[in-house]
Amino acid sequence: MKNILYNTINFKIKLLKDQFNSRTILAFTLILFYSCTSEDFLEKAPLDVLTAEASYVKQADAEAAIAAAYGMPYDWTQHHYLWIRSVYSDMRADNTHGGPAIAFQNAERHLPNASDYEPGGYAWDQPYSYIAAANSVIDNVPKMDDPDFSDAEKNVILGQAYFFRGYQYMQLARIFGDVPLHLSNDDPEIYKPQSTQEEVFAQIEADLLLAESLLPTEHSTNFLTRSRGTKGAAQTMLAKLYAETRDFQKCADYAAKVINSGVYELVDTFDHLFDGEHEFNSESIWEGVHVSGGFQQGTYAQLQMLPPGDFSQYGDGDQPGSSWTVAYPRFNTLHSDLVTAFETMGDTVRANSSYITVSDRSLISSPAYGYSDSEPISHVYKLGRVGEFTSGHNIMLLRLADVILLRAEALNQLGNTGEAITLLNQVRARVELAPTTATSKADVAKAILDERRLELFMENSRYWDLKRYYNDDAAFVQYLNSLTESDGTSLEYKATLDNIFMPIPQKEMDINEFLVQRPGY
Amino acid sequence: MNIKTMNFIDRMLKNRAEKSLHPRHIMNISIFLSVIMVFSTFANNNVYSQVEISLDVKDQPIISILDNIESQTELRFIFGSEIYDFEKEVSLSVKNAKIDEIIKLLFENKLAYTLTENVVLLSKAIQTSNTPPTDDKEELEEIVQILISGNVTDSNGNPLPGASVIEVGTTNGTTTDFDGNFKLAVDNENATLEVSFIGFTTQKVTANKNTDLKVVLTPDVSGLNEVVLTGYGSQNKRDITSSISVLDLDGASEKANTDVGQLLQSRSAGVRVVQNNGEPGGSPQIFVRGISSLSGNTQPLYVIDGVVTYSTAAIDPNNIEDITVLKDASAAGIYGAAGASNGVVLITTKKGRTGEFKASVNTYVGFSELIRKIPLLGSSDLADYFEDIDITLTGDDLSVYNDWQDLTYQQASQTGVNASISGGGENGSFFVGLGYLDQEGIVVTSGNKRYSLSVNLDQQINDWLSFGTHLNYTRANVKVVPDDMGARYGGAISSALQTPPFQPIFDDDGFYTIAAKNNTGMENPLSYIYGNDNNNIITNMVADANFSIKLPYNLTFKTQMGVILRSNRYSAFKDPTLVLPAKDVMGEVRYNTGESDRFIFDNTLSYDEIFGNHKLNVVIGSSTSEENILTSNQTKQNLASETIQTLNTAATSVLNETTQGSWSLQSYFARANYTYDDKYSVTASVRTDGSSRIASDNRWASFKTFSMGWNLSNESFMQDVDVVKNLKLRAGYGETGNLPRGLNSYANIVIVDEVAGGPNELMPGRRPDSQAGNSDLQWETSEQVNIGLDFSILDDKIYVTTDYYTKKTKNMIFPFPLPTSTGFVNKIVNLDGYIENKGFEFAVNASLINKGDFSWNTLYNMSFNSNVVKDIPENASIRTTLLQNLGGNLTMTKNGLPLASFWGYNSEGVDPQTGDLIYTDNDGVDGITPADKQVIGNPMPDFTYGFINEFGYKNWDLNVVIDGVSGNDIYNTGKQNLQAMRLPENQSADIVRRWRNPGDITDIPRATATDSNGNSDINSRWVEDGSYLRVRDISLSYNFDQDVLDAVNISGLRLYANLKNWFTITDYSGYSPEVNRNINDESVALTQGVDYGSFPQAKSFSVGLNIEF
Repeated sequence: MKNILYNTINFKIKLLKDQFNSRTILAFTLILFYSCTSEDFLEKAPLDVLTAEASYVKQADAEAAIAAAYGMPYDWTQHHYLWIRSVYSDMRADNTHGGPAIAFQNAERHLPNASDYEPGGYAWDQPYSYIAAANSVIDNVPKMDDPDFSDAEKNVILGQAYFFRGYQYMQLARIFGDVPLHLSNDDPEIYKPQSTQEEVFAQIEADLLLAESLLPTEHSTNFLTRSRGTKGAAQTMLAKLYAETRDFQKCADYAAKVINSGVYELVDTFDHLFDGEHEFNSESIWEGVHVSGGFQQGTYAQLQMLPPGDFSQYGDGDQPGSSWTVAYPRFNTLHSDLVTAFETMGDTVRANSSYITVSDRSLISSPAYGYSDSEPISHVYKLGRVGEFTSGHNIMLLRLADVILLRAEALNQLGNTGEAITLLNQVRARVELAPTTATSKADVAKAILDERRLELFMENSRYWDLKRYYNDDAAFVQYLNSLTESDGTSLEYKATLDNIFMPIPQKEMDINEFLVQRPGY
Repeated sequence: MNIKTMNFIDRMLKNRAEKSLHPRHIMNISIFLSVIMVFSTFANNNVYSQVEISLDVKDQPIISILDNIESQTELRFIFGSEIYDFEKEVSLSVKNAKIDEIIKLLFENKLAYTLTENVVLLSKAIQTSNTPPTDDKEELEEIVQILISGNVTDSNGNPLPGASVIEVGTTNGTTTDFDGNFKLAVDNENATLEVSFIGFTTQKVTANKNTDLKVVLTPDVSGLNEVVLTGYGSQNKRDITSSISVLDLDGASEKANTDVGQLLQSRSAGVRVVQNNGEPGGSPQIFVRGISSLSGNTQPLYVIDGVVTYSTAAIDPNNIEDITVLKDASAAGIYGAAGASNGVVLITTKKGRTGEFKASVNTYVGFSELIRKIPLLGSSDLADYFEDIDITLTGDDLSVYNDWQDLTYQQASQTGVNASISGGGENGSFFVGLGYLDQEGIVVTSGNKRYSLSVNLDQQINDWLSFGTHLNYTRANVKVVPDDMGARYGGAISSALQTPPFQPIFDDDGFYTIAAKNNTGMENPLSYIYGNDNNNIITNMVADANFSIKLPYNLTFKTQMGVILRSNRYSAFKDPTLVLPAKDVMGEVRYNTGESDRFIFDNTLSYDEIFGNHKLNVVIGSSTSEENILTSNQTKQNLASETIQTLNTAATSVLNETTQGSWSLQSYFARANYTYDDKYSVTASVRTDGSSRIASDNRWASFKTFSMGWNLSNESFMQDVDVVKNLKLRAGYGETGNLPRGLNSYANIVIVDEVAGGPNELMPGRRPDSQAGNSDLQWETSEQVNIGLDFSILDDKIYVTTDYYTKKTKNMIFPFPLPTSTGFVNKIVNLDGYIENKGFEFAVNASLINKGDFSWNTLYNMSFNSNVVKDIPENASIRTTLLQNLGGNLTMTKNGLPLASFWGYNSEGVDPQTGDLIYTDNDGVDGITPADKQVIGNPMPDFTYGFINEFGYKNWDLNVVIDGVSGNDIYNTGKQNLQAMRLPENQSADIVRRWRNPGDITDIPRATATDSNGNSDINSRWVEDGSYLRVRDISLSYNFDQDVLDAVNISGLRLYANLKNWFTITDYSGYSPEVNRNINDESVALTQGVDYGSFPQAKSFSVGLNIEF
């Protein structure tokens, strides 16, 4: 009874003075004790992720940051990186087809839609995410005070970051023209208007010149020399930039710096450049490195280029009816005109390295995907080992033959056609081709263009080479719209002066009100 | 006092052991207790009445004289301080006097007393039966002129002991004895007597001195005298000023329930339970008053025996005593930012009762099965369809007929048992419940075995200190089948529909087929089911210990320590001997574990006082909590042997990671409730929260509430209104908060992974995460206004509660897309604009018939809610619910629309010339472009309702629960897959009436492999009306008579049969109109009403029995 009453009824139960005191003291002690929670209790640093503040302390941290920047093009989205390189250089020019996917067909025929994320959105997003990684290094490394981390060592890392950023802005400026310049991740200005293509080129030049001054000719290992920014890599990009801006003297000068650096030398066998067995060779100036096995570090870009079917002979157990086949149609089959070009030139060496024809059509499962028997498939990059889903084959980003041909082109433009012919023949000799018969400046320019088409197939070159060759966008556009199959059927390109630039992705336009869409979209 | 009487008192005080009772009760009970004691003293010659006391004091306060007596005897005094001046100084000298004598001397006959055991209860002496005990009836008759006698029973004829009988207009009154009898002396022959009893409606009767009055009280459906939990305290329902719903569980927890959601379903206006799937061990989504967060938590906060948690997984529904839902912000605001924006569900588990030792067993067996099959094409119709998509079947054996639905579903058995013992002694009580559930799922191999334990102990340590502890523990072993995915992505349910009937089960090598010939078909469902062994072992515990200390001035200090533990261990095995994709990797094993512990420390100081007409209840307190979370995920391939499925025998590591997190919350709160004259009540509260999830500058936020109530029926102008009683108006405003989901949204994070570091070697790399940190992030806040009106009509037989509310959620936490030119993809921000939920809800509780052997009680509730997003930035671009390979993101959230509206092309029908769908061209530009997409459906219902009927006839009880929703749409991906007519897989039986030739008029377009018109895109054809009315639960039970039971020496036996989900009225063509895509990373709010091949709901039948000893 007492229990219930005590528990439930607020009757006054008479109180003893001593109980009063002890209880009160106990209760208020507890209250005081537990109310005094310090602000520290509410500070919970992340336990399983590194914060930006904590990630630049020691030299090794800076090295990990620059490694990630250079490693990023090869993360799981890297196949798009290869796609983008091929889509904007080879596919939109006269080298390859867009395949069955409507978005890529549209890209090929110059009918891009700002709302299509694939492929245009990737061309925007990916370089900017790489730039953020470079900016992170540029923002933080100078502020580090690890006593074991010398200024000289910092400069090498910073040089790599500037080179990398310059390279990425080059992709953006070529494809989109005017783009926003973000040069620091700490910049509070999130919504930026575009800078003009000239301003972006100026920034690229500044980054690359800084990189050239900070970077060594060679790093401690051959691997690093070929996979990271070096003085030679910066000079190569400067040569490309000056070619783009038609400063041919500087282009020739910077190409000469690379050629005469003593670091690079053409390999004897063309196939060694891409066979996966001779990576980091003497001709290589910058390679994107893959390590086989993991999604994060390997590539299956090469796989994307094959039509659906049983390619188990290449190690790809591509099953009929699996989502893989349905979701990822193949593209980058060769234009008949390109095959003709290889044949006309009698270039069997590079042809054998560059494409395959699938002789047994029964391997190709579904006619619905729109392949015809005659379309050879790009095979510059070879598939990985049997049993591997991802390949460890590197992607060649910059190499000496490109630089030699660039110098030839620049010298020819500057009137030194003789030396241009010498350089051109150097490249031809390697693939067992006779010296060029061209002699006039105009013929040599055309010969260099043709040479680059076969030498640099699938190496992010053709579109920009054509554009530079015509030096007049109207003529360039006219050339594109005149393209035909070998039987004379028009390819129905719809190029215009506007759409030789890609539209700013609509998604980005929606987010950033300061952006101005390119005309014509 | 005998045990039975004690029992009764205790029963009357049921549920209120630790809740403070309120004045009206106190009055009733005090009178009642004194009467019981009177009878007790009559009955027993109490030995304490003979205790001899000697005193010799001079000018001492009475109170210290009583102390003196207590110190020399075992006698203990109880009294209300207002009944006498206990500080009055008296002198007294007696030797070996009895207590009777001493009381007379001390109080000069002005106080009466009753003696029960050793307790002396002092009360004012009035001229009624409360006078000191006397056997002399003649003497009594002389004191009064008119003696009225009577008897009070409930409608079943059971006596109601302790009912209060008061002469109207006077303070003269008495209470009934154990047999329900009373005698009351009145002055006026025509006096009106008011008979009242807790839980029953008050009745007025005219006195008649000649015959015994027979008063039959009917149950009070308003429950106005009940004590309602309000969070960190309780209030009398009469004084409640906000919107709080106390669920009428009435035996529901002793049925074949497996989840707390089943108890919440149908029973409360404004509480919507979405049984998203029928998977054993799955739990429903619960929404209180709509959905009010974009990316934060949308589920209510659960408070289990005072411990704040986010899940009910630790509770066996059998062990639940009470559920109370704090719906509006003025009620929930006391829980502030802990997530109270979505309402708070207070759960009280069963406790032992003093003096009542009881053992009970609830056990049941049953089965469940698929509600309906979906009609599909047979082989010949399918071959015909394949021709239309240019596939000629060669080599397939069309005589093979595998009904994949039959192969996938089974009649599933279910067994449950829950045993408990409970009881209590003078100073303590205990409850121990043990449960076991073995439930098969209707998809073969799936199931759940769950063990549960509940232990509740309460102990009074001394007269000022009490201690209590609760422990709820469950361990579930769930066997999972992969569902809620597209057929080609591993979803067994989708695959069971889309796999062609002629596709063999096994291929020639004994593997489950992944295709038929000619590249038709797909991985069959049995491959997903039997080739994957997925087990999830989940342990949940919620436990607490608390001390309560009584302080002077009606202050009570309570401290509570709570612990919430959760761990799960998920293991999966892909068999390389059965599943072709697993063969390529030589088998795969996965072993994921997760663990979390949360510690909670709450301290409250409460004050409860009545000064005349003023009632004041104040609580202040603090709450501290901290949670640590760990996960570990490993996946390996290349098993040495398929018979050994542990990680150590697998050669290749695919995934190897652990994660860790910790967060804390510190809160201070205060609430005051003041009532004047039982007419006007106001409640105000404030809570200040600080969270580690927010950077220090914005960490602290305060949430205020204010509400008031007006009991109009207590106003004098309402006294003559007989039609409407208990009329009360409530109005309130409150703020609540919601936490960011991420633990570290404020920080800029660096991703650490491996990058190529050299030829064939990896090195660590670090790069910025794609999500930018936001140190300016603030709390998401909801503001809610609630206006309510409660009244009862027909002599309190029908009680109605109505509420209107508006709820605005501001500062919505949302991953806002950044320009990707910044290198980041998004940033968690407080979005401008707000989500508005507006609604009206009402609940009717009626005791319709209560005559003789028959009773019929009904509860009806209905809720209307409208949800709309306003003023958010136009570039927020909230597209969610990505449907893999079915056309991209399904939903759109933008201004003027409900959250996550379905967005796609609007189909106007099939063009008779082309057989393609005609889509509405909205943008004026020729052709159909993405700009033509429009709203094609709204997943939010217009209204929901629940209808519960309880019939009683003699020993039989029949309970029928009906509920439904109306006006919502469902996006049926099953239909989209089964009528896409694009891919070489099985299709719906409906497509036999597809368009074939120009001129055909039909609702189903042509079959086309290329689908250039996009007939299979996200469009209005796949949107269906999701309205339904479902007979949720029918249970019929028989209670055996007590005299039968006495013979076998048990105190209660009930047999029941239970049908669940047996009847449904709906136009929805999928398995069940109760759908919801399971949420993984996507927010619940933005994926409503999507049928994505979820484990279908089942109907079930079970029989069970409850025995009490």
